[in-house]
Amino acid sequence: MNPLGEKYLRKDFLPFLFCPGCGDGMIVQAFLEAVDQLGIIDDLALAAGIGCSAWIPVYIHADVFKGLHGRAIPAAIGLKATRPSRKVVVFTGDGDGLAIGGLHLLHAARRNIEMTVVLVNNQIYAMTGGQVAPSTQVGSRTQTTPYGNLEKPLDGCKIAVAAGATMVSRCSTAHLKTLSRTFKKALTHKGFSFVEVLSQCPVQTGRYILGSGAPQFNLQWLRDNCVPVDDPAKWGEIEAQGKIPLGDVLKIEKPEFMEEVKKMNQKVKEAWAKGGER
Amino acid sequence: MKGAERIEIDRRYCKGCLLCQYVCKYEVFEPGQERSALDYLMPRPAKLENCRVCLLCQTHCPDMALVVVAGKNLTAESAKNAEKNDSNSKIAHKKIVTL
Repeated sequence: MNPLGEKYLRKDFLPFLFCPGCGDGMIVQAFLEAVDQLGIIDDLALAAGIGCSAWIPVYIHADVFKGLHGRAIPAAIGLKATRPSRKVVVFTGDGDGLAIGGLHLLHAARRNIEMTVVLVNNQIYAMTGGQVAPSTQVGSRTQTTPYGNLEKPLDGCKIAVAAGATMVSRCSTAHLKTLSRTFKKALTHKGFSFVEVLSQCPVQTGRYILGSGAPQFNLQWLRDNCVPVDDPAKWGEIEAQGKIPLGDVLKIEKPEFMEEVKKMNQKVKEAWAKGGER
Repeated sequence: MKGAERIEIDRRYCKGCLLCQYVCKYEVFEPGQERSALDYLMPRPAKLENCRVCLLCQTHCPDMALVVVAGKNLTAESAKNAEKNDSNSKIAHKKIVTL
């Protein structure tokens, strides 16, 4: 077995329940590589909702919370509020994070609380049998849109930027070194960091949308259709060509929520000590 | 120049997706006849002498079942290879297997 797996996985839960050729296993490995390099396994606290991607933290030997569909982020906020020293990472999917838990994502980004949200985007509701998701491309045939999808897909990165996240990045499982480096950047970032990972799903996306269930075909599709760029200003240009841009969208510094809470506490305590004036 | 000493594929976890064969530029792997514990046909490192220890197969294995054990005198070079063979760079990939 892989040395990283030997070190950090729960052996009694293995093998992974992912389908053969699923990208989620690669994300586990890239994440563990970042954790190994930073040496923060004892500080990690992971949260997940429901979906294929929500099984990613379950295999990692750290503290894990697995909650209701879409409600992983509120639980993670509570965890961060009570234990600010922990590194909180939330794994969600596109159905979990953009559809049913979409508003939680917005409000976590708005607060700029220090946590990392990893949104694994496979363009479909894979676990429930291949229904149309908010991230499904226009014209895709799925189980619930047999004649093609008419709805425009949601862009998770743009939503996170608009909501006020301070680090936003998009990666794919076809670029694993970059993915691992991005995880490292996100885990060391002071503030809300959002990483969207485009992942291959041979069984649902591959068979119904792209036309082949071979994992090789799906990984090649990601390689052909994703363009890594350094400059976020070029994203529109690439999207106009029908390709998917990858890379860092923004990384800025803003006051972090838990530090602000601490300062507020201090201020209120001093004011009350002086005689109850606010 | 020596390459990999051996390539271990864990029988307990392999699901036979053959992504290792797909990412390998040097055609080390081929579909084998042996079945894993999960009843999938496992790949076989047939041309082990071609291996340059770029570790692409190890990092791309979705079940974390594959380990490349490097030969003793190749550690510095393998690190260089791994950096060079990052999937960002344009590698001429082989034919796509369509089911």
